[in-house]
Amino acid sequence: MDRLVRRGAGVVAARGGDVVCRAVYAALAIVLLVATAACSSATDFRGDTVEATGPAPLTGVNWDGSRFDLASLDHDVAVVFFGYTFCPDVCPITLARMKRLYGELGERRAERVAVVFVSVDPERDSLAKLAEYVPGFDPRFFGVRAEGDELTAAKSSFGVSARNLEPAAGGDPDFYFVDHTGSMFLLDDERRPRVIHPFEAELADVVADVETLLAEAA
Amino acid sequence: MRTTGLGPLLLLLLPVAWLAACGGAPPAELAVESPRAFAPPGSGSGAVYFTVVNTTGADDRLLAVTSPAAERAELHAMVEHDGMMRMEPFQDGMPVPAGERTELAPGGRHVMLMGLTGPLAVGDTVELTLRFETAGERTLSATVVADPETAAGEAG
Repeated sequence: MDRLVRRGAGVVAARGGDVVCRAVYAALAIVLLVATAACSSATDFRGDTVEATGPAPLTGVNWDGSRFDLASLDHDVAVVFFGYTFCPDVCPITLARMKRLYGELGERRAERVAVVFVSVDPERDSLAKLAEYVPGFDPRFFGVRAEGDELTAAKSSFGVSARNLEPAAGGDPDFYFVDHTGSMFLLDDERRPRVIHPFEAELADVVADVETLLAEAA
Repeated sequence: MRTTGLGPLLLLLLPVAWLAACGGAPPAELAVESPRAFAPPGSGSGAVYFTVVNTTGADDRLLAVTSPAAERAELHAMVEHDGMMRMEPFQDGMPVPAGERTELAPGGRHVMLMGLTGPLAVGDTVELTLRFETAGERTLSATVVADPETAAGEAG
């Protein structure tokens, strides 16, 4: 940066041959640099930023039996992730982290953030099961069940993959695992995915990016 | 200032006391520390986390886990596969190398409890039997916690 500024000022000096002019241009260059830095820090996320996209459609049925449509929520920010209730580690750990996210944001800001868990396992995750599972973490969380084309559409909105594995031979046929994308997707108030955090992200980084999106919406 | 200065001094003296007590070498054993269980309502599954400390001087292997709290218990590692999270069972047991602390923790390795025989609430305990290749069996009680990432677990 320093070299660039100096070279730019040098060109001006050669043309104008004026010390004052040189100083003014150098000062201008510095102002520009500072302004650029300030601009980029305003959208400086800690997770992976998503290239400009439109709203991500996501519909299904919420755990309480009501119709769910991400587009019709009033929240300023949404955090969306996929999983299944049989999963013992990644999925409930993410839900527990979301509970901590709410705690760190505080009541008033938490109300502006929709936490949305989408089941990739509608065969086993009935609404009754989701109703027992999701509100156990926080009754404000959404737990969405979608089947067939609706689930396929939801997954493709976020570029999420999921694949059922075979149950162990000779074991309970209901004891099977589902490989799935573990990422958390942060959406802005126009429901555009803006930031992606991998499962193993530090919660502090997720909180910081949610706060940035909340500030943007304010 | 005087009271805060005392803590570090005591900490320095502690190992000296231990050395005096056991003649310089830690006892050769295979211990299981910090067990805790995670079993959200409605899941029907659970996870148990703990740390195996192997000071026996020889490599060992955790072959199997059983629990009266579940129909089946399996040892898993989380791995990334095609950009997805996958639970991968240990086929020939989980290695417990000599001189190491082998940690089972959220997002890494865990014991999965499949088909809980009854609902588990925070504060309940889960009994487990761990079968090691060389060290034999160890039993432990893991307390069910609300969030295994914020609960350190109790020695058991």
